[in-house]
Amino acid sequence: MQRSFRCGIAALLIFMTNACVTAPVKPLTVSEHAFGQTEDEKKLIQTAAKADAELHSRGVVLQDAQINAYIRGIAERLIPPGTADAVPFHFYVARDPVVNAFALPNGSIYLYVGLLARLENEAQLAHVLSHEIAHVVQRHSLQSSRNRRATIVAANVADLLLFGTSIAYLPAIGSLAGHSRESEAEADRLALEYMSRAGYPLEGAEQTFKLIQEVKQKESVWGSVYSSHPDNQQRAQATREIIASLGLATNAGSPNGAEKYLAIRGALLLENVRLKLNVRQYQLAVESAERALAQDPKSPWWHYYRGEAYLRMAEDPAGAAREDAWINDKTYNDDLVAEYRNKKQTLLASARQAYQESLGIDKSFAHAHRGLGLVAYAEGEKEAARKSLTYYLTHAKDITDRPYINNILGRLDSK
Amino acid sequence: MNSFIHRLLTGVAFIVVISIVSGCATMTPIRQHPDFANAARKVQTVAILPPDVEYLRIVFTGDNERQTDKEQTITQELQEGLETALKKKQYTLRPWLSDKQKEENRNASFDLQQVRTAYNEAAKQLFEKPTNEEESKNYRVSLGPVVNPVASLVNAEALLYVRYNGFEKSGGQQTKDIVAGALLGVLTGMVAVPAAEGSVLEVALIDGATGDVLWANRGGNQGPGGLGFRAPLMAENILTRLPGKDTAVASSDGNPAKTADSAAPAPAAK
Repeated sequence: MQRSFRCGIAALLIFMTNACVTAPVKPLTVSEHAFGQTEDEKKLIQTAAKADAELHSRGVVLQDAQINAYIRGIAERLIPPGTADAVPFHFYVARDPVVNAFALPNGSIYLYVGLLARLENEAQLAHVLSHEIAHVVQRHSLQSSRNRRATIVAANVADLLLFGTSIAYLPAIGSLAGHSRESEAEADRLALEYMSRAGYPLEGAEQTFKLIQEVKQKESVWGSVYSSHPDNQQRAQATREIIASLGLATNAGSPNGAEKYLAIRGALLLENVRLKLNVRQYQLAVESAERALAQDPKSPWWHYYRGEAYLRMAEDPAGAAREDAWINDKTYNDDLVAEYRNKKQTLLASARQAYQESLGIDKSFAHAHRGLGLVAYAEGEKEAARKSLTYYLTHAKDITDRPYINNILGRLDSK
Repeated sequence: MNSFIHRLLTGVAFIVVISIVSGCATMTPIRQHPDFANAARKVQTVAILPPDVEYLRIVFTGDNERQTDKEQTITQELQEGLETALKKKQYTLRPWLSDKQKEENRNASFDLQQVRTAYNEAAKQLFEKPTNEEESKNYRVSLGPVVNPVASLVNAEALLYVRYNGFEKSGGQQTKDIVAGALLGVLTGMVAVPAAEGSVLEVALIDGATGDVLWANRGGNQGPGGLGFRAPLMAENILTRLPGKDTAVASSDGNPAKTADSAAPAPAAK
């Protein structure tokens, strides 16, 4: 009875505090928005500026004038009139293979390489940009911050009533990442309005959700707007309903900018696969390379990277097992690692085949020789390994892994 | 009913404390490459990578803040402490890049970030399970050639990766913890107030040619293997058990590797 009473009080407090503190925030499209004038918003903007500085100092922001100008050009068509005077919008590409994008309250918008590699045309990119611009325009970060503060203070008080057992506190914390569903839905709706006004075909929005739907369960990060499968299905459905209810111009038949987008995206695909391999996403790297290969079958690089992914799976069964468990909701344990260890010869054979296919396109492609050399080394074929790795060192240009290869050649000589 | 809950919570708390204490007695956070002696013999020069430092102030309202000034101080203290400790072990230190060198090597920051990212993935494998002293010398984990550009840039045979995470609580948060602890104490008869500050330091010595993690260690402030409370002391203590250059060969136990789950070579840059 006593416990029920305490729980009731706690729930009431959370409800009351939320209801009392979180007044609506005015969007930047109204003249009396007073952006950046309250202490809490100033603090948010400062924090965002620090995040910008850190991402830049870590070299995570892609420095490519052509890609940056392209994105900026699209974004300028989408930003609602007048709002750019209130907040300085900046658009960056983050060198990260995750499927994600986010907006900071100071107007900085980050698109991840992993996301750009999945999109197929400019209209889809316009949709992603519109969604993030809407978060800035509606000041969702400020709204989320105020909601969060109210929830945490209420949860702290409730926690005391529950004798500090954190029963109220932990669930409250768990629901705080990202924006609320209401904010996301609002950004989805406004994104369609921005796209429609800029003349982009609105089918791009639905295509984006469908594409993201195909993304492996956890390829996008928790808290990302693209992280939840059922949500994306519902959002695609909601898109159709919003278009109908608002009577938006769908711009059906307008150019979706696929050709230009794919030309720009080309450079990012290689970067995406390289980044995936560095975070031990081997299966996902194979899939990315195969998708790219379907569009660009003459490039030896895609076979090469397929080979790299198979080779690394063969050499890193624990990493391969961890990825398998992560993507396919399996249990990561010694048995799964043993499964990959037992597949070593098969994976090495797949790697060898991929490198040979690469050489089938360009027999002087030095990186494929490197790959064959490493497979031969793993198989104990000393002469073949020495020959292929030496070929790589003497023919490849601007290589960065000379110490690594020299070390292997040294081991071959000493064995 | 209250008496039953009291006994249950007291019992659980006791079991947890005993488990932790007995577990820590035989376990070690140190991870060593099975061929450490040979690998370390080839390593004379080491560069300390810019420490990855995060220090958070936890406040009652939930608006937790990064303490950037404090992070800079800690970074400086860690660098100095680790330099001193490595010199004592007879390693020759290579300085990290100057601003001018960074300007000349525009990709250096990204290359460094790639090493950090690769290490974070490797650390999942390194610290996946608790390990005893004997098993701790059989860890074959590699970052692959992603380390080559960074090692070449600073002309070092090995890199020392450094990660530090710390927090402090505001007065309001501490008060809340004290009150909550006291209330819980009324129920259980035991008063336990969470720490008002804390930190964890992790270092890894990585071969600049192969990317193999030669030796790694991580620790907090207190308990068995605790490193102390201040960054300079933590920096000094965390390398205490790193075999020195002069003892590297002698320290090899000669055991064969338990597993060979190393990461395969990363692709070369296009």
